[in-house]
Amino acid sequence: MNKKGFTLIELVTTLSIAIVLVIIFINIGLIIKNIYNDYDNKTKLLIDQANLSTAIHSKLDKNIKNYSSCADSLDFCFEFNLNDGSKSRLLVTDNLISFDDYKYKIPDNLTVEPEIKKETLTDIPSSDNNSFLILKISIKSKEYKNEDFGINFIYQYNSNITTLEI
Amino acid sequence: MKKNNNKGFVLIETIIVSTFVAGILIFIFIEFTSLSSSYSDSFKYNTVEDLYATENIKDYILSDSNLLSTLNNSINPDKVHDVTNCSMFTNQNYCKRLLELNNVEQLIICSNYFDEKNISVDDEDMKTFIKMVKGTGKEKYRLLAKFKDGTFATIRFGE
Repeated sequence: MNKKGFTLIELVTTLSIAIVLVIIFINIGLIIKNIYNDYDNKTKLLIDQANLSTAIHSKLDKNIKNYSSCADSLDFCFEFNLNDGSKSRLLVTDNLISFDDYKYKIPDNLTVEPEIKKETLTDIPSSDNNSFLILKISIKSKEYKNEDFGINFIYQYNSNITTLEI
Repeated sequence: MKKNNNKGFVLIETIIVSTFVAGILIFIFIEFTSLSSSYSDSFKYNTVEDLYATENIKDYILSDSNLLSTLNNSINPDKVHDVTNCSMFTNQNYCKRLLELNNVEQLIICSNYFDEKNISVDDEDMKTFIKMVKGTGKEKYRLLAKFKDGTFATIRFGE
């Protein structure tokens, strides 16, 4: 009798094993693909955020004497006079964020929404900080809709001592 | 004359090779899953923006002498203070607004050299974050913050 060929059980078993291996292989491929996509896009966004955050915080943290809108610009632009005697200038347009020497050209797929405001709480003893200067530059990507890659700078001060805005 | 035609693989040979290949692929899968997890953690933990926010809150804590006195009397390696509701702060409304503006969801103060086995925290993500933190430096306290976007940051403070 010619006994060439596989039996049905051998075929089924072999196919099952092959399918499991393919599924594992596909999952590994998907993980690698996600890591690559995240590396290429999200890491760049986080690096840019870190650079912008460092540029602004390192100059402005605990150092603002007062600030005013830029006289020569209609864009979102503010000049800060610092306690150490220096000045810093922040400019935000649709495609550029500039803070002193730091320049960040905003990629086309990102949207920028800057905001600056002050807030004072009334039930605080006059000797304690009672106010906040809130500088928020929201940078959003179409790819990561629920995440903000901008900065949220909160400056605490005492409005009884400092007016802050010129 | 009998001819035994034994070309091709038998099932047992196929199973042995498949088991070997499956073992290698499973090993690679586990390693890549671990790599992906570490990579995701790098996005979540101690980002620059979160560290500055935590530093901002730390500055406020250091200005609150009543709070520091309370911490000094009650901090030990087994205890965490969940100060999210600001009840330990002198100016509670200011504290709440500060946390809100910094997008803080949960704020914890503990000893810098805490024993993670004895630390009891409800949030599973915070527990995972605490396990990654190592007590180093001369500072007395550690501030751990969970932000509303699911990220975490920690800094040491206090002498």
